[in-house]
Amino acid sequence: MKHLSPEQISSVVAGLRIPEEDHLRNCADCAREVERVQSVLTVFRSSVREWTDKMDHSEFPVHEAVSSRANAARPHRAPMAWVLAAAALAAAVAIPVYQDSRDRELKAQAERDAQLLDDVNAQLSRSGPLAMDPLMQLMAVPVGGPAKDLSKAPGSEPATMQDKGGIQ
Amino acid sequence: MDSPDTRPKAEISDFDAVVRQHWPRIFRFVLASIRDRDAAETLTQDCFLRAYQGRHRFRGEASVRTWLMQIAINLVRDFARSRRIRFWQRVKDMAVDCASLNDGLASHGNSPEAQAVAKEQVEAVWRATGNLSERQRTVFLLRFVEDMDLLEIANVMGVSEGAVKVHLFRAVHTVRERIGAMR
Repeated sequence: MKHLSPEQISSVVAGLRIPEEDHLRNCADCAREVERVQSVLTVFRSSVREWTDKMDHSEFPVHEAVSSRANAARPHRAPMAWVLAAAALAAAVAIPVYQDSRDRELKAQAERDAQLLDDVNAQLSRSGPLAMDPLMQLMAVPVGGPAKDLSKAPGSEPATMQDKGGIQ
Repeated sequence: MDSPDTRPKAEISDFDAVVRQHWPRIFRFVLASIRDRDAAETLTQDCFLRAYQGRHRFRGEASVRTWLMQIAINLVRDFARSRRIRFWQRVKDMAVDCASLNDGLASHGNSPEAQAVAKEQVEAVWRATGNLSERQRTVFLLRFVEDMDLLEIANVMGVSEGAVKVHLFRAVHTVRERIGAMR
């Protein structure tokens, strides 16, 4: 007689239907094996249940724990809302102030940059060193006549630092 | 347009009663699944906390037990996935758990030999379930510890009854191999 396979035994223990159920009813060996496994699982169930039941829940304040956590979860919303609202308000005030301050800073910086460029341009366009300005002014004033702008004389090049040699 | 009824269903209107009635079962399932008492208590608390916070969404289409077990299964799944602790991979913890698990066997009044055999078999089942896949273990525990039928298991796990059968068959077959076949 062909007995049930291990897979068929497992199926029966799992509570699944198999076509060979007639064999199971007539074969003491197969029925014994199924009962043995079912018995082990029954003992396993009892052990797990006793094990968990032994953990006395009375020492653990179940309801208080759940209630306190449930209650604790609720008040968190209000402070969080206030924090967010305060942050939004602070941002609403701070951003325009910061923006205005930033604009002024940029404007001042632009003015300083423009001034610096003007100074550089002025320095580059000088016909001589700053210390020689009085001497150059004296030379530019002809005796008995109005001051002549040498740099604008027809046919003459604009005065440059090379002119320093001539001045000497 | 009718406004939705936001009142909790009658079954859960007294939430303290829900906790009292279902706590032991949920705790047992979670503990058997993750095998750590502290974590099991925390997850069970989380389970009831989520249920409490979502009590207005409970439509009463499933039983309260099914609803709570669905939440518990998700929490256990998240916990396992978080990899904070892999209990079933720790031989040391397994040994402690097996010792605890077998404490109750002595009270059955069996002979010392029968108790020794039963202890060995329970340890084998315990270890075998530790090596099952998460779904197989969940199905196995729901079926053989919680006595749930296949359809209810399918409902709480959100899978088909056929899938439950497949997982259960594989779990039983693995466990049976671990406890040793007689033939």
